Amino acid sequence: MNISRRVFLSGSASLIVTAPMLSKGIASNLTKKNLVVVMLRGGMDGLTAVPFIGNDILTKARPDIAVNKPIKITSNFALHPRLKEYKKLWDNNKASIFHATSIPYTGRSHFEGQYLMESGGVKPYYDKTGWLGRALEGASRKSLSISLPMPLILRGGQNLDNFMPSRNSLPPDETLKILASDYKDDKMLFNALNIIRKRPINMMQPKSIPGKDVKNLAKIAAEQLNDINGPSVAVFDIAGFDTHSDQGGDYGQHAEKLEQFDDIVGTLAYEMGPAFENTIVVSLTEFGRTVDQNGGSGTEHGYGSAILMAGGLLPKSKIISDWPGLEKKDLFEGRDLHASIDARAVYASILARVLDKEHKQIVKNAFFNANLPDMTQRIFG
Amino acid sequence: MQRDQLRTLMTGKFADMVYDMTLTWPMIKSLDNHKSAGPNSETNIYRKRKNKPVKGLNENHARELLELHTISPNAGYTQNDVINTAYIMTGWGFIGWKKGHKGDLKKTGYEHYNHEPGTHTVLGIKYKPSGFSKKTKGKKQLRQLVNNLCASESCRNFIAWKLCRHFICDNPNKDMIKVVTDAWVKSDGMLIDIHKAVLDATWKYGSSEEKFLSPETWLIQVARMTGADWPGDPKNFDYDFKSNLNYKQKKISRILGELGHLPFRAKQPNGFPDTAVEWLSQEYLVRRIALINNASQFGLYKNSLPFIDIAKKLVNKNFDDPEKMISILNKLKSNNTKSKFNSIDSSQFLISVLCSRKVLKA
Repeated sequence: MNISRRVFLSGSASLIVTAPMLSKGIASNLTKKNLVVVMLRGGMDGLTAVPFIGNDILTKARPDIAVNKPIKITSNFALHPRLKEYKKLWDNNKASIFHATSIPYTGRSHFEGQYLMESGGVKPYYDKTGWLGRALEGASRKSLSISLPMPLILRGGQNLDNFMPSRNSLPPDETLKILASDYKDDKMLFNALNIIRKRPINMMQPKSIPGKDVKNLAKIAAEQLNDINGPSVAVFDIAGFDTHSDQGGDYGQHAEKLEQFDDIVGTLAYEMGPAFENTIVVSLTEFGRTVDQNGGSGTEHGYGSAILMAGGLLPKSKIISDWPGLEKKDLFEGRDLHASIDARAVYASILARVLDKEHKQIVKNAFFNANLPDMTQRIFG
Repeated sequence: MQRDQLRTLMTGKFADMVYDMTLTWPMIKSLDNHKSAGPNSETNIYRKRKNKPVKGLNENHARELLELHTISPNAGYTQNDVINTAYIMTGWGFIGWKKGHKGDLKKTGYEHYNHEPGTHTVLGIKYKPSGFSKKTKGKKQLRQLVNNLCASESCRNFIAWKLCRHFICDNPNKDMIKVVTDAWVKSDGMLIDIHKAVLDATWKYGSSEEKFLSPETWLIQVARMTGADWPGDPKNFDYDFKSNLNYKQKKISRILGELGHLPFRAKQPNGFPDTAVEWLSQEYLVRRIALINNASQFGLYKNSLPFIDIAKKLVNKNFDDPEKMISILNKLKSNNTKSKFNSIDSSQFLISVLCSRKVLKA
């Protein structure tokens, strides 16, 4: 007996979500601020996404993989040609870039680095919750991760859900209820199932196209973010930035990955419409990559990278950076772009703006009271 | 690689497994070692003389050999150790094609002209060139390095911790790990003894600990409990690397893919996770429940048996007294409706057994 998710939900469970919150929801939709974090795993190369064009150091250091047709956006910086939608947002004063920044981690291991970019701490595998989850604690907001696992970055928060479209249908709620009674002494299983049972109808419908295409995933996220009672925080997870070989320049592996980011940002902007005005999208990666190309026309694990931001909450487009330079003497350990700003300071200031909280409070809740300067003025001023 | 290479090494020494796996073509290819050359290698001296771009050093494989395959960052190595490991690994790459195979299957070996000459120091130990032939002088350095890495306490603790985490619980304690490391020391790294010790530790500590099963392990459990047609006849999997996969061979991946555990497709070189907090998300749980709900579509059962037959099979296979169980079920059901077990919603029954806490956690 197969009942589609839609059939049984239109019966009973959907009421749980929509009915009681309706009146409150309409009012809050106007001010509902959204945050979208796009995790770029593998070490996004800030110097490919946003190359420095003030001198020819970069093109000389990367004879095979330099960006040949960068789109100039300031006298010193350019955008990668595949960041087309992002460029449109830049032209509309809806994109800003924080350059030469990183989480405070210099160990060059993906797994330690990714752990820290999500945990927000300084000791790998130590903190069991994520900075976004902790920031959201008590904020009565819903979050949705577009991924199969629940990423560390959100753990520790409430009202979390994660989603990937599938062709397959769940059984009727009657069956899930039986499971719920079996799970009642197991907090993790019980909570997970409870959230599944309360999902809105459009997340319960089997999708005819599985969500491999990031545009399709961004569309689903936009739909949920636009829902007045839906999540106001969304997380995307893209892997594949670890280009040790054949990184490519204008085309190739890194370019394709950047295009995925561009697809997400562009789709969100288009699908969210006016709600994008109350939204900020930020990228997050574990480290940047070496300035020099390596033995396989790729780059090695580095340090400083860039944070790409987009959305109507930004007042104007700008590059924000205390640029450390690309001369050998300016580089971290003589090989990597230096990080002049702790990336966590950027995220803290964005969180404070989106969650309407004091910067100090965010630093305390999300980042263990680390010494993070307030970047609000530099980003939103 | 897993079936034809890794599994054939399961009865030998851990160090031999690491060394042999390090030199398999998929490992070298995915971690780029064939593209690496020492700055003072013959290749680069020649290239410099001819004013050609040099072939750089690639640290990828070296870093993962230390971090994932042997000692882990807990061992406290530095960037310098990584670079020296990469120097030792230079020269190991592809030396041709394997006969009779199409596609990417390559022969691996050592080519001295990419190797960084001289002595290289990793974690305080010096690895010198040996012998007089320039073709093989640097060849033994990698073997010595792997032996030393595998003989270290950091390596034993790291691998034993991983094994205990997989079989016993997400946070294995020192006592559990010690059972395995003791066997490791005693047998000088023999995998049979190490794995026996893992069984001992699991037997000793497993009953008081819960382990949330990964999708693949859970699916094997489901297949055993229901007598499902999965993974199917072993003959189906005699793959020759020459033809495309057939439907039966793909079925296994289709199901695992839907569960989020597609073999060989872990997104990163550290592979799939191994803890409940990673595997127990809403969407992963949805996938398991929906799989049982749509089992016939997945061809999980032979000839798309009706649910009722599978449910009966499950009861017969897994309960001490199946007759009694069926009569209890009938009685329970008849309190609500007049129907008998034969006609109860057996899909519901299957889900509530196969996705129960007891089956999800072992």
